[in-house]
Amino acid sequence: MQKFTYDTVYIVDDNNTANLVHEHLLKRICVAPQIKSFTNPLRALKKLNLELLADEKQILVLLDIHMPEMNGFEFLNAFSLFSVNNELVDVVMVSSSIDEKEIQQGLEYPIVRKIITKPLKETQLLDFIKQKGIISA
Amino acid sequence: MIKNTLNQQNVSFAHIRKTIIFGFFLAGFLVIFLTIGMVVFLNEAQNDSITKDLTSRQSFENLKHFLTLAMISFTLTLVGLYKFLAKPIMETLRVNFEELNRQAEQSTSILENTSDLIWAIDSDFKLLAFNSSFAKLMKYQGGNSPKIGDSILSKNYSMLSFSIKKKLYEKALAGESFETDFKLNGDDRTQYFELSFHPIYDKNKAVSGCSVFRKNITLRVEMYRELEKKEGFLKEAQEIANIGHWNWNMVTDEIQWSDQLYKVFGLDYQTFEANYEGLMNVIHPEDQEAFGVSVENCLTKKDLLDIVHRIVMPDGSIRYVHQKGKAYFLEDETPSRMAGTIQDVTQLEEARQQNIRQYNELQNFVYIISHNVRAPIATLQSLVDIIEPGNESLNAEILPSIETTVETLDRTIKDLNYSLALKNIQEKNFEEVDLRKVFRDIEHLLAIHIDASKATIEYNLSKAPKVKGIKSYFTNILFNLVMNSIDYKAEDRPLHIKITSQSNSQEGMEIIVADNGKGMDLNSEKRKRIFDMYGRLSGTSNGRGMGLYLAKTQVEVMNGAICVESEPNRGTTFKVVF
Repeated sequence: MQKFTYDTVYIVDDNNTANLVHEHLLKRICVAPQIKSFTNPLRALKKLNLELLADEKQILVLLDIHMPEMNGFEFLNAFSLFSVNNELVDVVMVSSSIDEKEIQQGLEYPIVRKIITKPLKETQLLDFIKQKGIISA
Repeated sequence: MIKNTLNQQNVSFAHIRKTIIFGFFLAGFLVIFLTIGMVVFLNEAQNDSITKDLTSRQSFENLKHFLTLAMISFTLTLVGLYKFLAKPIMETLRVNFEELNRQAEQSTSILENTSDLIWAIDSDFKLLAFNSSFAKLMKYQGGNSPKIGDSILSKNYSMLSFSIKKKLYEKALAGESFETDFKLNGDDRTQYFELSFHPIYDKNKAVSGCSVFRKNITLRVEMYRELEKKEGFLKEAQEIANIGHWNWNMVTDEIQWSDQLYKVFGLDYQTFEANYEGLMNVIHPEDQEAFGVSVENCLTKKDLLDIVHRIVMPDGSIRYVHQKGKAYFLEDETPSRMAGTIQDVTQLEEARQQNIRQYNELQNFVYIISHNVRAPIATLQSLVDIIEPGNESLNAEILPSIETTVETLDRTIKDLNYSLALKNIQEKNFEEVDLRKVFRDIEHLLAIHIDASKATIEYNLSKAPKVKGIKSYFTNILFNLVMNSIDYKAEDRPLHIKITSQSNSQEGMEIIVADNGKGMDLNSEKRKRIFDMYGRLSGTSNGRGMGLYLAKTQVEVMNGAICVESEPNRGTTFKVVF
């Protein structure tokens, strides 16, 4: 039986194509048995909170910064407000813009483990997972 | 001649003294002579009448003795009178005369040792007296020394023309005391004089003549001219720099403003009373508090006053001024006055704000490039990454994504081009736009959407139906605002849009588009983002985040501003101000 680092991966990005690409990448490196994509961050937030309430699961959130209605930071604010148990959740923020201010802002959230500039590369994901393995070991 | 008149007093004292002494001596000699004569006569008579009876001889003898005694006692009396009565009187007189003399000498020296000309005439224009400066000048000018009794109107005394001279003397002889100026054009230097006329009254209080003083005031006039010239330079400098200065006397609450300051404020110095309250009324209401704080700091902390604030001109327009000032304190540290300068910096300030606006636009542009242009490129890169040669089903899935992403990239670049092109317009191309026509066009363009959403639109355009600008821009701006209302209509009630155009308090006009749609919760971040390029607030609609950005760009290039108010489930109101 295959060993996964996470139980579920949430991909939150308003761009459908980006979601498709990221889904494909994650599947290829076998990060989690379940991958869920959302273009609406509010819906993702609702689902994520429900899942955390139901079960103790290791969850990775691949979170885009620039989204209408609710951007990545607003998502994080809302999440820390509602979530009961966020030690189980790792967030990796992805963004196509390379804004130093946004990187600083993202790193202020303890839940954010890494900020990656798009395009997301397979090797970047593998590095992150390898690091995560060492931490959890 | 004043001198001569005064010396006569001295002469008359000596004269009195001599007369008294001479009188006494004369009286003395007369008595002695008479007595001797009498004695001789009596002796003769005695000798002649020697033969006569003894009794008469005896009586002669007696008379002789009596006369001798009388003569001696009379002489003694005279001597006594002189010593005890006449001499003290003479001494007192002498002291008094000396005192008078001293005073007269002092007055004379005052009158004589001045370069001012002093003279007096009687009611027949004849010279009564003059000082030596007068004599000197008259001799220099006419060649003759002035004489008492000369007519002042004769051409020997030709300081002024005959008619003017006569008029002035007549005025003084009519009992008026006055001063007048005149100038003499010399060869190398124009001289200025002040003449003061004073009537002289006799015992009966009737005018018996007049005295005249002539003072050379050339230096004073030249200094005044110099001062005027310097003031002129200062005024010129203030005008060129459009800078005014003020001085605030805090004890009396009076503010002195330079002419230019009134011009900066657009006020009339004849009708405007300059004081602190008046100044406050000129300052833009929103800047009054900041100005008050600055002045307070200047007075309490001795900070320099240095503030840029807005002022409201009498015509309602707003300008920017830069105030710099300093407070001055008394010894006990209480402030007594403040002084400072005010410069019109409207152009500078407008340029600064234009800079800020352009900087922000540039930032936005950079942001768009870094995000909206880069995003599709990043997506393309990752799409290319996941292509697997030979995996036809995967590749078939990826290809349409590549297509749409390339399309997105192309559209973004076209959007950027378009929005940059919008900004290249000039005010001279503005025309009068009839909003009623604009909305007719919009209703036509949006007919299907309006029908589908069962929207009703209420117009209140009659108060300000026309606006200056570019018609196609207004069409686009208002199209986007109406479209926005349709896109975000509430699900549970029919859409109602109310459109109003009216003039506002700042002599401009505003167009308000208000709906009863689903509204939104606006924080300052969202308020800003709603007008950003691709700054969509909603993920549920199909908008690209271009409509409101273009609307804002078009409003701003026509020197307007756009703002938004909204309440969840109540509706949204956009206000466009020109």
